[in-house]
Amino acid sequence: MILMTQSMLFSLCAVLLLAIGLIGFLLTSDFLRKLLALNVIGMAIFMVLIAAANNDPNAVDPLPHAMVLTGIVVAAAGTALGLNLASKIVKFARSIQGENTAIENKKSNATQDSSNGQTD
Amino acid sequence: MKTSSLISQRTMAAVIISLVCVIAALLLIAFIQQPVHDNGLREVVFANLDKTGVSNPVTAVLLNYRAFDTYLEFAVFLCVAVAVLPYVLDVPIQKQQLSAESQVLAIAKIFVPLSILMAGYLLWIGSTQPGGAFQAASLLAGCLVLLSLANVRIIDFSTARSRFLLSVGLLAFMVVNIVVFSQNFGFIALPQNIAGSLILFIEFFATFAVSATLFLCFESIHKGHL
Repeated sequence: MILMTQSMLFSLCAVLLLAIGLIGFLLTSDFLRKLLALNVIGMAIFMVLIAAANNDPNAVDPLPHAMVLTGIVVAAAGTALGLNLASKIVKFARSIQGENTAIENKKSNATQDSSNGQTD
Repeated sequence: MKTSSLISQRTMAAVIISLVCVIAALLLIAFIQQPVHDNGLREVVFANLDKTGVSNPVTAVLLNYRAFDTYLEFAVFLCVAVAVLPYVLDVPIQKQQLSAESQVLAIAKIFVPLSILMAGYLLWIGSTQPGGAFQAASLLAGCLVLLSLANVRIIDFSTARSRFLLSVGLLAFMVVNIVVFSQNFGFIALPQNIAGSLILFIEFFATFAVSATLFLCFESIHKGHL
């Protein structure tokens, strides 16, 4: 029987979060979901650090805490950068799609005009 | 043709899921088998805490023991701000009329002064209790987000003044480093007798820089892609 300490529980949750994040990251092709999955993986790593800091409840190790504190803010900023890049890519794809549909519409309009002329 | 690609996608997903499960199981075994974490640094941190100028060990690690890390991190923030800035600037500035009965504005009127006060308090107690520049900065950034949602524009990122605000944390740290180095105390080695006030000086400016960067990140996503 494994001794279930608080840090052990945190480590277990971190592994679970890592698995969820990895599956989400590898199985989806959507930018937004990939970014969210990356954030979940990041949270798992923060939880491992917090668990490592809390092995002795009487004297908490401040080093992992400082790393997590800076890591959270950097992760937020990095996510914002990723979201901006992703939306730029989507905008670009949309503009190309728009051009393609405009060309197709022109073709279909030409055929529709001729057919409309017949019905009217 | 379509069914075969569907099947291969499913087998791919099954392979990925089983691989992730194997990794998770290996990690679990590793966590269970690992000895109790003790790198001996905790004792070093607490033994030298009276020389750092602060009594909160996390702040001591951030801005005294590992100050070089934090110094470079401010540079990372500046890089993120520079990278995100174009997404805000290419949007035409919209002049929106404030509606007096806006619910968000009513909430902002109550919470913004309170959270500014709270941010100042968090910054001040950072030397003795949990708190400090990053917590205060996130509160201030929350303030700015609330104001932005209420259509109150207080930072215009197209002006040079607001861009200076983004770099003020790194600049303050640089000034402290240069002054300390020129007084022959060594590179990023704060002198013991004024370490506390130097840390507060750095944290004060870092709060504004980090909160402005976080707000810029929000603004670039919120306003930049309507």
